[in-house]
Amino acid sequence: MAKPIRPTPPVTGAAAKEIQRELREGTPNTPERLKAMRRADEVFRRVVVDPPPDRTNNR
Amino acid sequence: MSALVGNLTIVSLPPDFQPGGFSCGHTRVDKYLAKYAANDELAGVTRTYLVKNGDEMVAFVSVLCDAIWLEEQERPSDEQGAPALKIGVMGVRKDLRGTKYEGRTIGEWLIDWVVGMARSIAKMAGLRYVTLDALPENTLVDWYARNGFKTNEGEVRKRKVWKQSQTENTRKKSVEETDIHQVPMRLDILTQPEH
Repeated sequence: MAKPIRPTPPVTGAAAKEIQRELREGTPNTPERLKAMRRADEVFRRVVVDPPPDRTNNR
Repeated sequence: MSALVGNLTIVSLPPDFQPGGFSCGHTRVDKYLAKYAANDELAGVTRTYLVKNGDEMVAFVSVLCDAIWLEEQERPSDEQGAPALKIGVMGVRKDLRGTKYEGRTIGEWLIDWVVGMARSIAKMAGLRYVTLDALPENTLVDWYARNGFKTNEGEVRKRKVWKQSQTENTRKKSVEETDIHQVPMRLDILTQPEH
């Protein structure tokens, strides 16, 4: 069984065009979307995670 | 359905991590945590965070850097893609599915936390999306969609795996299509300036 980790495969078709439009024009601010982003910011701000062990120099 | 006692906390995967009896009900996800997460942490492939309720582990998420790239033939304009933070693997303890915390299920709350992390990183480095590959259940795709994720259409793929089969006299390996579909999805984390 392979690891379930992989990079996102290149996008084609309608989704590619939609992503281009998102990148050019942004995703519209709907009330639900703004609420979700504010909620995410708040959850991340409140939940303090202990710094992980420094694993950038562990080899 | 079990109940939570007190607040949820999040800790980095400790070096001496033991998964114990944690199960989210998905074999591949449970196996990732038990077998691969610690090594991927050391290799700098993923960062894994455990959600705890007191001393009990109730969920986990492994995140990594990612990007959404558009196939070359799909680039009539200059946009080629954008950087992303990927939810590589995520699981909520099976008996706690649907349990609410701060008005959200634990899974939704954990997604909020990852999106918040992405938006925090985006203040310092280019980062536009949170990505994930939804597991084959249609209900999961719908669940992510309800949480703001869009499907990268046309990317529902079967994953090829090596499968070993044994006949009477031979032992052979072959590449076979599995029934594991993964549906790449994305969430644009950038909001427009508010006036």
